[in-house]
Amino acid sequence: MNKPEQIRTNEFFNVDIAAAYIHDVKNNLNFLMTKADLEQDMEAMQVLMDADFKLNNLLVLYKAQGDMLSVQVDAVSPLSMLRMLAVSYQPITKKQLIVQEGDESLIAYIDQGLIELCLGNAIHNADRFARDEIHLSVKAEEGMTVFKVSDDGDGYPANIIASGGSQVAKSSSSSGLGFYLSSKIASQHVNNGEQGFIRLRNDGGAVFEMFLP
Amino acid sequence: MKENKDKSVLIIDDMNTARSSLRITMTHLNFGKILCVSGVREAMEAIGSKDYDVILCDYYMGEAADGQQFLEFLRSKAVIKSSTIFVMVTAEQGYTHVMSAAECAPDDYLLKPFTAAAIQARLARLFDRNKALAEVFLLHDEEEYSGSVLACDKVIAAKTPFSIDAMRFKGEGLLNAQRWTDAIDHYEGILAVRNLPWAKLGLAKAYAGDGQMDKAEAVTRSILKDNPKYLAAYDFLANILRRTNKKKEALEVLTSASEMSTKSVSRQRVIGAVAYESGDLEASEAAMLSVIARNKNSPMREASDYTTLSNIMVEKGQAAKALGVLNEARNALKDMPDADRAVVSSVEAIAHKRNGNHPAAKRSMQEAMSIVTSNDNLSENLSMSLAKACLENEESERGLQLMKNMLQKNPDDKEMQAAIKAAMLSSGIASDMVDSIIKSNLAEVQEINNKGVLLARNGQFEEAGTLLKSAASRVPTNQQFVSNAAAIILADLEKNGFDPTKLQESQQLTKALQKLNPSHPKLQSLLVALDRISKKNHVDHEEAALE
Repeated sequence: MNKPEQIRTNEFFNVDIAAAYIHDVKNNLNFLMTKADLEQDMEAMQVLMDADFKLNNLLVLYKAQGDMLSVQVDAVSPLSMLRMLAVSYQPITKKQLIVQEGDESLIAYIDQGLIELCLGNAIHNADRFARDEIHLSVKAEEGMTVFKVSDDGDGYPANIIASGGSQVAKSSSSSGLGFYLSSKIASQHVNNGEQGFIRLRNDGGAVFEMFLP
Repeated sequence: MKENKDKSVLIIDDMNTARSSLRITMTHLNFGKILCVSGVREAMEAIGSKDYDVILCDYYMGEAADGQQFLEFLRSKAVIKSSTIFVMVTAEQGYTHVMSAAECAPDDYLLKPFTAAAIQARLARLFDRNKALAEVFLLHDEEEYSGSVLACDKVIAAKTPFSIDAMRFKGEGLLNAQRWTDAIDHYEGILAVRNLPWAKLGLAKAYAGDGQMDKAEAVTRSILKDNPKYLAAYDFLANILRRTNKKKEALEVLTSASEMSTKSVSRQRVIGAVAYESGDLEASEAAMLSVIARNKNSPMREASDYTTLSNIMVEKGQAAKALGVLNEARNALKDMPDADRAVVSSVEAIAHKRNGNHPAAKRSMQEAMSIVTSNDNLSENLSMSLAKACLENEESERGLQLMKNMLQKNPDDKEMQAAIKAAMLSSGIASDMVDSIIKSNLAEVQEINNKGVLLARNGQFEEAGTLLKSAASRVPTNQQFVSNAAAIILADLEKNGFDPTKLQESQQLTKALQKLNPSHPKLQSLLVALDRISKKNHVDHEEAALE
């Protein structure tokens, strides 16, 4: 009998092969996305985006489990990043994406690609529960950059809040996996002995927050 | 999307379906001019005939080079303007890490699958950035680095989202302007807030420029300790080791970097050069062979790759093989510039001679000499190749004159002296003779300067000016010649009355000095004196300089 560890390091399946397959599938998705985009077929775009998130999550999860998830921090304008995310995701949701005004000169020290992935997950998640609006904001608080994605829906169920997002991976639901990865990615952001984390709470709807040192 | 109408886009992707779907998207976004090409060759033709505002390039190009190699080529050779937006298209988020750890990163990434809105959002941000940094880019491309630093300060003070971009460009500007102390302060300021690898690399470069090689090495090594995949730091560490004569160590660092990223042709070139300097002809030959093989049929190939390889082969006693490589160069690069052609002919002249074909050697020698009519202002590579060919082919007088100019360009350049010594010895000049030629050529710099200063002190400004001006035009990179020529003409103006031609001469020399060494000790006093004389004689400083 093979132990699970042996399966993971099997010579026929490693991170490069996984990445190569995902690469090909993403090219396929991109072809379909362009088509759906032109035809303004929002439903198809949502399905494609959902498939994309699942692929990303799969790869990040795989890397995280093999300790191959490397975080490369750079100086980023977080407000520009949020605006860019809002414009990018608006065509695939009927909800209104609203970026709150903030300090234009704010600088965040983050791995932009990975944080965009987390916030994308959060927007995707909020889309299912929001009534009309999804709000995005960023601010600096006690040496941390705090990203917030909030909606005007019914809020998270009590069990998700209780788990703080870190336990939900065990339930294989895609939102649970998204929270798990976000908390994993946040915790890899470290500065001066401080570690990043996520927080889930309800405040007139579901609130997803990422605190990054 | 209105502003897209007057913007042009170049799309580079080897896959037909991907190309056409990008074209559809960009058409939908209302871009004015869209051109799709499948590879580097066509892309170079397109860029050669028109400046594109945006280049969308797929990371996979289906060629030996990938998108990152192509970007490095475009930026390092300044084929595209600083304001040209280069966006890398990729399906794998992991590659963004590879790219941002390289010497030059793309302006942004586009991860597949993407919507038209996503492209628009990213490009709109970059168009805004270009507006904010327009002056910075313009001055940077004109090599007016101190001006571009001032322009960066304005952007930083304006508290826009582009202050990070401005801080990066400011660092580059300070390094380019050789303002080492300012650059050290700038990067230390950034690092005080956060340990960012690019800022550390900038700091290391500033230390190295300032001659603090130990500090430069320590800082670069500390980047690699925190970020073992930061390729740009490997390259710079190798650069430091090479300059501090630790060639073997430099080679080891470069080799480990090229194992991590196998596609970099420019790193192979450096491996070839360092191996050659360390006397390892086999390794050098292997590296250059791989450069040529990888760049086969690519517009990124360079004549010097072929001539470097031929030189190695000649040294290994394989002149016939070297001639084959040179022939390949002539076929592969039919429209190479004259300067490259002259190098090819020069190396050919040596190879034919060593191969025993004297008439052919003579023909190649004559071809080289007919292309290069003057000894002044030649590139180091051309000077050296031509000089070596001359010494081997009974043109010793011209050969020695070329070597004299090279020695006098920078009398402190020990590597140059060693290279010239080796070339003279290999052409059969006796060792004691070689030493005395080098010594007298170096001494002559001091003699000319002393003579000029003495003439000026005796009031013979005309003679002093003529002497130093001709020395400065023969060796325009010798800072002592240039600064003394500028100073003597100024003294002449102050003593003997105003002359607009002389003022202009002095201005041009001072400008040249500023380019050679922005922190030259005499530069400030020259600028002040020029300004005073211009004002006294009601000459607009800038206008006179531009005439």
